[in-house]
Amino acid sequence: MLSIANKLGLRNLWRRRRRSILTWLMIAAGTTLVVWSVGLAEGTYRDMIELATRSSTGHFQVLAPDYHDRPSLFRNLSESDSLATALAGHPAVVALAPRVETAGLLAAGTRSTGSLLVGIDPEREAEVSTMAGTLSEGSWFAPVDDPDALPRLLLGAGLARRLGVAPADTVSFVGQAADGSIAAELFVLEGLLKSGSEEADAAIALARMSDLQTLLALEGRVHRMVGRLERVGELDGLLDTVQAGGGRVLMGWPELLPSLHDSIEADRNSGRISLAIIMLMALLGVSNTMIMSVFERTREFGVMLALGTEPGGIVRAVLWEAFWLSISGVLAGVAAGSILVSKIPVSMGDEPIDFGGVVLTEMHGANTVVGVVWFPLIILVAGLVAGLLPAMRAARLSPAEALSRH
Amino acid sequence: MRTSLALMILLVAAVALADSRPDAAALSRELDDLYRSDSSHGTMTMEVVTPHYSRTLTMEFWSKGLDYTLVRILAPKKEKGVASLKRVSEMWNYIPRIKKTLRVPPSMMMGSWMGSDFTNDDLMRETSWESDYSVEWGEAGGDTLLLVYRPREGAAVTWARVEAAFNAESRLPYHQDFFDEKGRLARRIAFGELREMGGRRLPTVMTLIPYAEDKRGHRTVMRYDEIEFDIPMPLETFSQHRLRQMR
Repeated sequence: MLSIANKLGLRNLWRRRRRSILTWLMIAAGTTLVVWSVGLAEGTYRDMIELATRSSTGHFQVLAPDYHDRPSLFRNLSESDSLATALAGHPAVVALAPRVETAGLLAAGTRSTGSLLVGIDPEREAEVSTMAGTLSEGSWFAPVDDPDALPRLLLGAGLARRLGVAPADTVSFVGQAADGSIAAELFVLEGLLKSGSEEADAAIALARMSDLQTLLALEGRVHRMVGRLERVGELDGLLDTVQAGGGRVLMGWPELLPSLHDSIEADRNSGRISLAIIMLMALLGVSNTMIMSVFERTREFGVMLALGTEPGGIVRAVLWEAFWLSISGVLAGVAAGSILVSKIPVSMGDEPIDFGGVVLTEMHGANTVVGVVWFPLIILVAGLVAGLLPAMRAARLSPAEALSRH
Repeated sequence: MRTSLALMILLVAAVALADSRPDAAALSRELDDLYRSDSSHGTMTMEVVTPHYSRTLTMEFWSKGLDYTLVRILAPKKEKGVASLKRVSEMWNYIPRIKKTLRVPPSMMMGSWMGSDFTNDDLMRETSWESDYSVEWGEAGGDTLLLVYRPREGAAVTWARVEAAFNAESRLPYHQDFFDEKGRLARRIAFGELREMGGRRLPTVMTLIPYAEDKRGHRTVMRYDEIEFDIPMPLETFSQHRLRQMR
């Protein structure tokens, strides 16, 4: 059974259909707009994070403390590290790939250049990063039958150009091994990588991790375990539940790519301002309608008060009215907004977002808890408050005064 | 009469004392020549100790004056044939595994020489030492002589001050201290184990201890096993061709 106040509220809505529909539309449209714009922004962030982490960094990494800030051959961890093993079995983790890294001199003919050489597990690496997909020539570490064959190397196209080498050429590497000895080896260039980013292609050099471990006297040791999650949103849960310590740290992408994280946060904050404006407009509309509807019913309230209705009853009736109006409008707005977000990508037209050489031409929205629950909830609460103020005023009137108004 | 005699004795003593302190530049040159003379050839063992590893290399070396040096690793087997050649103001390393001679660029002068705490600069600097640094006497007590080196104006040098302490009598070095531009002691080379070798008496062990924060626990000990001086040494000894010879 509905309470009297509730019934009164609903009847009042029905009595003034046109005004009710207008107010409802305003709430619904405002909510739609908020849900949609938050969804588009969050979706774009998600795509940017995905693009950035997929090229190499991954969603998270396990490394020795300080390795990220001050890389050193000696800051390494075991290939069968217990934390890495636990993470590999974690339901949110899709893939985990080890890497060995070292700086040294790459040389071919009379040319040479300092470079970072990264040792990877070809199969596992392909599951966490898009490096394998950037292969433009040659092959991605094809199996080698001859045990005496020289180890294989993949170079970024720009780096290969600088060294003046083409696939099947020999490239030498000189660096230092973990036992202090000189690490020198001849590699056969197996292929070229072209990621589309000039910067990355001028710096990347890949070898098989097992070859590098032998060369660097780092058997069984790795510098990074790079992980990918089912969804990047699961990172916070992972960081909360998994304890690192014991000579290694677990770092999420915001720590690994702080500039990306900061620019997203900055964009999110500036987005909040336009959201606040949209919400303010919706709220002004609602409160204006509520104030008007209460005001024109002053005489009616006077009669009710004169007949002995408690002032609280009037407040409740007006609040119910505001509640039904707001909740139905917000729900409709959430439904419409989230459908727009999930079904309709927005083309960027002539101004695509350029991110590290990777270009976003379409914005794909993403519905997040913040977008479809918290922001609409704010609108709902604000709608109730907007109804509360005129209702209190009405309740405070004396019957005689209220009846004398026209 | 008595006073004048005493005065004369004092005067003679003063002259004798002054004579016992040689010209600073001459003593400095003695140190330069100690292990090199006109030419030298020998073998040495280098022990490198770090918190992460320690290793021992046996090496054969040839030198002519201050300008020419060739060093080749004899053992361990993994690095046999790795060699380093210095010719006046140029330096190369040869690495047999990749059959490559790599010129050491100026940017790598402060890099480690053969994985030790010695730098490529240590080897290169010998040629330009006298033109880069001026030398004068420093304050020292007892039987110790102290040379203080300061960079000459405009010289591109690594150390802001170098001090070398000698035994006043034997004129053999005790140690060399290297100071950075902030006046901090950056490293010390200590000389020890005096022995007769190659017809002269000299310290046969050099121990380098770096004091830099990131070099904590590092030590390089260079031990001369055999050395011969002033043997005929043609310039061809220091050719790129010889650099590549594995023998």
